[in-house]
Amino acid sequence: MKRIIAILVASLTGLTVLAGYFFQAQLANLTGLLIEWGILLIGLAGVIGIGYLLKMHLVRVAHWQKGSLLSLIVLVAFLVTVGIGFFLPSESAFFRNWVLNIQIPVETSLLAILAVTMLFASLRIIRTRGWTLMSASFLISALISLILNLHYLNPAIGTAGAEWLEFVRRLPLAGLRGILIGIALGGLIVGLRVLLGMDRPYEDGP
Amino acid sequence: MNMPELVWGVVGFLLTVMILSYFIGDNFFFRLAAYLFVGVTAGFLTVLIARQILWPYLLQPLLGGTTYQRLWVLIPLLLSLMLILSQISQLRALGRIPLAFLAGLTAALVIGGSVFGTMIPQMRAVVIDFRPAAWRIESRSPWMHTVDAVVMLIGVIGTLSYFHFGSRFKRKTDSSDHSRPRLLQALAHIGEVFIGLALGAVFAGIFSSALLAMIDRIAFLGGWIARWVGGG
Amino acid sequence: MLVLICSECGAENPLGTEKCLLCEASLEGVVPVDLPRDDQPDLAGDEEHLTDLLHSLKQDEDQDQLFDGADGEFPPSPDHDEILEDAEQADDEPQVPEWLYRIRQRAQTEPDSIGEITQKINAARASLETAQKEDQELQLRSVLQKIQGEVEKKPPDQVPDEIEDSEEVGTSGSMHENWLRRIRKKHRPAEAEDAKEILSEREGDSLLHWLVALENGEQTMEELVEEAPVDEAGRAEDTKETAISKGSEQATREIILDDIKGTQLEAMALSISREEQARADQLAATMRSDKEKRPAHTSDRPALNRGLRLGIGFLLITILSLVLFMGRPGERVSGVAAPHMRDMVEWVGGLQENSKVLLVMDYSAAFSGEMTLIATPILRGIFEAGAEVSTLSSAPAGRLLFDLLVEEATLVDQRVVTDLGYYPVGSFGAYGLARQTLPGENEPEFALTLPVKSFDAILILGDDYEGVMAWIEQIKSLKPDVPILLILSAQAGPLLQPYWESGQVAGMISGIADAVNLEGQNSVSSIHWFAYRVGIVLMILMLVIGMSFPSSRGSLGDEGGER
Repeated sequence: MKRIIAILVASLTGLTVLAGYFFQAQLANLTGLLIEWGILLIGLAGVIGIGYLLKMHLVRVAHWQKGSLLSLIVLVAFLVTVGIGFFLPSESAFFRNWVLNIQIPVETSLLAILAVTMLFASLRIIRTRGWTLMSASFLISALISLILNLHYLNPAIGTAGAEWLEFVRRLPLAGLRGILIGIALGGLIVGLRVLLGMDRPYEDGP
Repeated sequence: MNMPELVWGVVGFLLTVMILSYFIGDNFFFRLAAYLFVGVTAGFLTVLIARQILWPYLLQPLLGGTTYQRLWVLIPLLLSLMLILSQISQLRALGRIPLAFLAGLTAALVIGGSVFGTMIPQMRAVVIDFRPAAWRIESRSPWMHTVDAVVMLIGVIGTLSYFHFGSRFKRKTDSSDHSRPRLLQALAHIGEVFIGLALGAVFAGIFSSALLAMIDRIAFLGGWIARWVGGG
Repeated sequence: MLVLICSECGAENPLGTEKCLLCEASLEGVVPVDLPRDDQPDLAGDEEHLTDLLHSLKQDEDQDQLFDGADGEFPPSPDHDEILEDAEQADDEPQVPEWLYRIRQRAQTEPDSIGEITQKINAARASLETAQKEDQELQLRSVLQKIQGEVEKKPPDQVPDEIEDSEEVGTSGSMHENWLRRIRKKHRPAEAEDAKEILSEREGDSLLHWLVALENGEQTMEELVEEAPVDEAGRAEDTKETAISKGSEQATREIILDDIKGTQLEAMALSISREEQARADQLAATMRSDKEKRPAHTSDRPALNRGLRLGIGFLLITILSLVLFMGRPGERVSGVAAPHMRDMVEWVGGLQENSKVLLVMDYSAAFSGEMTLIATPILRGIFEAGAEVSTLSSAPAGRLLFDLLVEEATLVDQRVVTDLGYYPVGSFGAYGLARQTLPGENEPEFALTLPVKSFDAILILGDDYEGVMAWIEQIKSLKPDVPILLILSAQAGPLLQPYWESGQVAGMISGIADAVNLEGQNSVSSIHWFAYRVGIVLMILMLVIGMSFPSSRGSLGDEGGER
């Protein structure tokens, strides 16, 4: 019985929002309400997820397991951030500096490591994948895109060189468009399966 | 260099060096910086969700709204309570309803967006490329536009042929033979080439962003050292 | 009637026949036998005779049980004289039908003449013995597995290295013999000598016996160790090497084998066959090998890969540092702006005062540097045009990053910017924003949050194609007339290009390459641009080198320790 209720809730909600694409003005208020409830639940789910993270670190610290010092740092950083965030107003420069001066160096540095990893990987693409249609076209496309990014090739507009350059620049577009359509098709299929109750990701257990 | 700038500069400098130390291998300092980042991000998200979502969507109407508003907020309140209580193992089944609500909502948005936002416009664009009125790059010659449109059409069909969405082809004459028809296979090979071309362009884009991040970090480190050495 | 009974097959042959009609054996010297016709039974339909047949078979079974079943050997068949003697004696005994006599005779001489029933009985007996052996083996395996499981559960510090040493030492047969001898002496002194003999025959696994003995006995390992000095001097060395600390003894002691009784273990320990012994040896060796420290990887490929990655990182950082701090700004880039960039520039140029522009912040802190470089000229144009700007965040740090962006771009005459809040899922926010209400109808009382405003343009700053794609899809589905413009990081650009091509997006800028073309070089970005070019050249070199030296091992060559 509970399973049927859940399926009904999912289907009715989804069909209402889908109908909103066709009857925008008539269903605007109802769909707006549903969207608001959805945003609220997602926010709450985020808080629950953070709660699980903290619980994991708390348990580690409480039992003084391996890595508990780092878990303690997580907990302290969390408490300090929450304290600053609730104590100071949201437009506070100190809060902004506290968050951004930790997030920007860490995230940017992690992205910078990716550059080295990609340089290293480019040495080994052929060694690992071998010469296949896809690997060859991948390498050629990467080379051409990188060369074009250097802006050393700048033929004048209207010349044959410019036309051929534009043709080469647009070649990946076909594959990209196909990938986007493929993603959309996949999303459509999965969405339909959820609305029709064939897939039930909200059910617990395997 | 004033004190706050100095302090934040030191923090940024140390964190950058700690993360870049990953080049020599996973070490304590890298993990220290990563865990600090996790703690701060978790705290920031909590503050953000509390201020931007829980307060305006739930608590404010409940505490300060009209009766009408309070009545309407009972349903999301109930859903929220069910979601929270479902974290207790005995009450796990309670989480089905709010999760089903979210699943239905997301599925509908994905369907609507995919169909009206991507599939129809993109497929239309493939066909419309053959119409001179739709050409956006006026400087190109008509024959180049036409060649471009043909290549685009073949490329899109080939790319879609490469994916078969998990279905197995069944031959009427021989049920044990699951090989696809030759035309499909040929198109799939063409699609493979175009997918490779697309992924190569994406690879170049990702490397560009990553390289710029590396440049940004080196510029920051060098600039900070120069300021420190130069006395502010 | 007189007949000649063949001594080979027992067939009746008429008088005067020289060779047996059935098996063609010579009938020379065979004494004719008088067979009364009346006594010959009708096997086809007489139950009494069938009963006799079964009875005779049963008697044969009883005889078989006296034989060694494993060997299936039958006692040697009696000689012909013996048969005759038996036959003569049989005359004095109650009359046994000849046909029965012949069956018995055949049963004695030919094993496969016993008959199907008896064959099945023998087969069943053999399988029963096999099953019993398998049961024993299974029980032994379960014992060893449980022991292994218990030891693995224990933290490594409670299972000291001495155990591993002792197990390794235990491969030596003589030392195991000593152990077991001591155990047996303690528990079953009378059997110690027998055990000696058994042990001397068996090679290898006394681990099994040791474990069994521990479970059977009350002796602790400490007692075993204490006993050592009592033994011959020659064994002192053994005991040292086999000394096990208290911790390990505790670990051993805590093993609980609930489902195997001590008596059964005792019986198994004493009745272990060679095959079982060999299998237990194998299991014990596997357990030991699992616990042993694995040898260092003989290939230096993981170290080589790490070294290579470190070298490439060092090279990149060095080159970029040299360029950034010692290089000079390059010439002004005279590039041709791509069509999608021209559209963006035209839109900014066409902005009117008090135009309502929504800025969607959908990038993370990692891309703040790149977005500052790319978005600065566009934002400057928007603010200078006098547009009313609202911001909405799909990324958590969106609003903070906007403030930083405005600060770093040193935007003059910063208008008041309205913050519309944070929407964790872009498609939710986009749908909520883009839905229309009926003309003249106000937003209902209960909906306090989602803004319903009309905008002249929506400018999305994004670092990843997924979030931006969700915005484009929802807005273009519900409000197709509102122009969308994109300011993207280089990684998001390629996958969103088709949206510009299809006309869904009015203009876009992607990456520093577009931004430099758009703005030209200034004192901030020129050095970055030069360093960027050097990095790109390095990547091109790496790709070319990688293509030039493919693996010699084939298309799916070595992957080293990268995975």
